[in-house]
Amino acid sequence: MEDVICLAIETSCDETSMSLVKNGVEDLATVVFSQIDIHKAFGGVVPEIASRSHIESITYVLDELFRKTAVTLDDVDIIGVTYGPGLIGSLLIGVQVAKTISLITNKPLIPVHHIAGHIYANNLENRLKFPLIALVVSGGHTDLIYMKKDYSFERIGSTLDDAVGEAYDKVAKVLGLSYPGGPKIDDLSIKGEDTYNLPYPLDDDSYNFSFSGLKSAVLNTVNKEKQKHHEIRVADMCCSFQNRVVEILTKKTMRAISEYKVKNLIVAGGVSANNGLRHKFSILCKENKIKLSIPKTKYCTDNATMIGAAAYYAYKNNIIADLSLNAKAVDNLYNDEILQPK
Amino acid sequence: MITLYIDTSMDDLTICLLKDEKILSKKTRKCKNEHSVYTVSYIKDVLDEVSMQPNDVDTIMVVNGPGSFTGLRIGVSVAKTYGYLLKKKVILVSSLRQMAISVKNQIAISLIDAKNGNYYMGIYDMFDNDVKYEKFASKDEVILQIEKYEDAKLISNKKFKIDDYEVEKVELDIEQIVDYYKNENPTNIHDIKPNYLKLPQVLEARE
Repeated sequence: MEDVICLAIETSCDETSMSLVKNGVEDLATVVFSQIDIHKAFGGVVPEIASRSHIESITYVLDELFRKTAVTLDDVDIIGVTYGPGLIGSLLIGVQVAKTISLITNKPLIPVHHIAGHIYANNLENRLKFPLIALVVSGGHTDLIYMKKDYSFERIGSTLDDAVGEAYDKVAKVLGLSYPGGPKIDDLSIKGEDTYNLPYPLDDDSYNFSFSGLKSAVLNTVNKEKQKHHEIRVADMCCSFQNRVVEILTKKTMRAISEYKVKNLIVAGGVSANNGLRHKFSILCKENKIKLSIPKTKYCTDNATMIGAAAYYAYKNNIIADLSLNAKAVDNLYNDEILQPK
Repeated sequence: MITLYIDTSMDDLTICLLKDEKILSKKTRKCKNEHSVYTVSYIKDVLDEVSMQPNDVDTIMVVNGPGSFTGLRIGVSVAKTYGYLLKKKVILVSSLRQMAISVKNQIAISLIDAKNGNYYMGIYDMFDNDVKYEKFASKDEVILQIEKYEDAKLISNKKFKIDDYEVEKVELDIEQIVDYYKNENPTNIHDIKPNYLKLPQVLEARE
């Protein structure tokens, strides 16, 4: 079979990333320009500033990408791009770049769902084995997905309010930890004890999640303690919060694994770098003889390599867009007609 | 010389292909929040209409502002990517100046509605080519300039009134615009960005 080289583009949030990926599994070259230092000053991603920054970096990122490899634009077979979900102003830039490259090269344009990218990041190290359950956890997503075969996604649960990473960042802010606060909570929670009486968020029979109640409970506790002039034990609060999050994520995921009778679990997205979550899943998967895959940290956060990994399978499934492809901010995409084979 | 002209700065999307200063093919449409859908497709259409390939274009002229932030970003990202990969010259066109060029009056005040009683304003004297200025201005500031330049023609992309002053709608004369800009120096592609003339809200609040 002939090799397929994908030029992949990801601009759904605050990373301008492009990558060249061969056959959906081999990372030939990747460039990630992170805007994190720009947004730090604002305590979170500012959409208008993210869009402005993307447009300033696109040609630099292209330039650096082709400097890193002997592959040229003529060698590229398909153009893969994240078309959603994400920040609309940011997505739009990647989509225009991808469409322009598709026009210039006359090569197929492959629309990639951001979550599909996170899942396929695993393919860069170990081939996905089906059927599987995937838990995608990041600053924008908390999705539980059942995959029967390659490039078939059935979302069985999702967050009803905040994404888990978003809850982490907001709790970190309340505790006076700088952005991005997720990793800081993770680090501090090891040093603390689970002493605060926080609720288990949406501990029900569904596969959905809810983190805003837990976040509010942290906020209320902090405010009450302040009123009483008590000091907040930050590490203990981090530990209590993280324990609730990890408990509910692992509990519902393990139940899905058992109900769907799968032997493979994928954990992906930025929050899959969380040590508490990794640790708990590795114990549970060992106990239950489940094969656990978590991508390398560099493929957990947003990057175009994972988009190239997914684009290959989308292409094999004949999912091809024309030049009228638009970006989509909202996540109604699992049933999106764009993802249907032509 | 083949020029590809891209204007996504306002509700009217215009894509045009020219040989020297003569229009070869042109596509335009009212496009509220849909520039993303049509811009690249229309470029393909104007090329296909005259059986040209993307590489046949020598120069890209892109309107880089001021105007709709999202619109500008769409035109500019397409022009940057196209120009960078095919090594084409990219020339930046002002949305305010191109209206002044199209009316051929000696002095023109170009206005674009910037919402909440504000305007993007450009003042031009077409005999001496100096831009008097281009800026983000309050209504009061605009009226002050209108009173100062009594002979100026008031123009915009749509017809409206600012107090008692009538502002005329301009039909863009793309051949004139391309003729005016053809000798401009191309901008280094990496440095190209929209000319927003306005900070993001979060930065404005800090000022």
